[in-house]
Amino acid sequence: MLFLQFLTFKQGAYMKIQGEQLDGNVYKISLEGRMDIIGTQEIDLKFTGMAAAPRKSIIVDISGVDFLASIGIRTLLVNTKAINNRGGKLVILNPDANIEKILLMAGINDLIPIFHNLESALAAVNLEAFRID
Amino acid sequence: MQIIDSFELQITNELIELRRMSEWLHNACGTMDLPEAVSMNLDLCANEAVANIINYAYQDHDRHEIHMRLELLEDQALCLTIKDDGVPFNPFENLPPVPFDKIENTKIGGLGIHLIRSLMNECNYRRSENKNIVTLSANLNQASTHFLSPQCSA
Repeated sequence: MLFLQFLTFKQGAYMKIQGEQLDGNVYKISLEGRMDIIGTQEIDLKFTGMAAAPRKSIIVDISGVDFLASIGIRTLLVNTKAINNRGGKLVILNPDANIEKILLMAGINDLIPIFHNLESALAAVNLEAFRID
Repeated sequence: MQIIDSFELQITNELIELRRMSEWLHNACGTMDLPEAVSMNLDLCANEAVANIINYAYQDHDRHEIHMRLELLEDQALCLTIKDDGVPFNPFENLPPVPFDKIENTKIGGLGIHLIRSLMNECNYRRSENKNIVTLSANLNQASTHFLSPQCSA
């Protein structure tokens, strides 16, 4: 079985965003840096592109994010809604303790589940990857 | 109430200035030897509050100055005062009209304010001498990092 990994990588002045195709039609987006207004604006378009159709199973690794403002949360929410509307799923992987606290405070975990290891994140999104529409 | 420590900063009404503000806050909190969590909470709340001011308090395209003062009081209250000369604008009440007519987006619009209210012990707005004055306070004696429900009403 051929295993192909496509990596796209962008280093901006403030934020770093990297996309990686995993097995089973899952796409992992890794974010690194400060997701304030400036940082979020820098990666917003790229993130939306990476999370766009036909992709339906997205894992967002935010272990490298050390600051998350409401505008950053908004980007996650808007893209999650779009994915959910297509019958897909987006989950968050490995927020650090402070970032997770903010996510919980925002009540985002109702819409975007949070996982602390890749295996459980994969299990959550793969339920959608194998759906036949 | 005795002021133990005080720091001031002036920024212009440009979003890029928020980074300079965050650096100033980080340095001030470091000077006062405050816990990292306090510094981070304050950074987030300041970003949310000042972003709202920059985006919504001015009806012209002129350059304006926003004054900020951070004070540590003797009762262990940490107060951030933000003063701007924009139109009367209470960030805790005057949320901007949302671009989409959806409840979800209304929620997103108020998310910044919700975060401020959850992380700070007190949030005040008043108008004085043609200036908007917003004060955010955190009581360092309380374990505010564990609070998940809104703490302050404006």
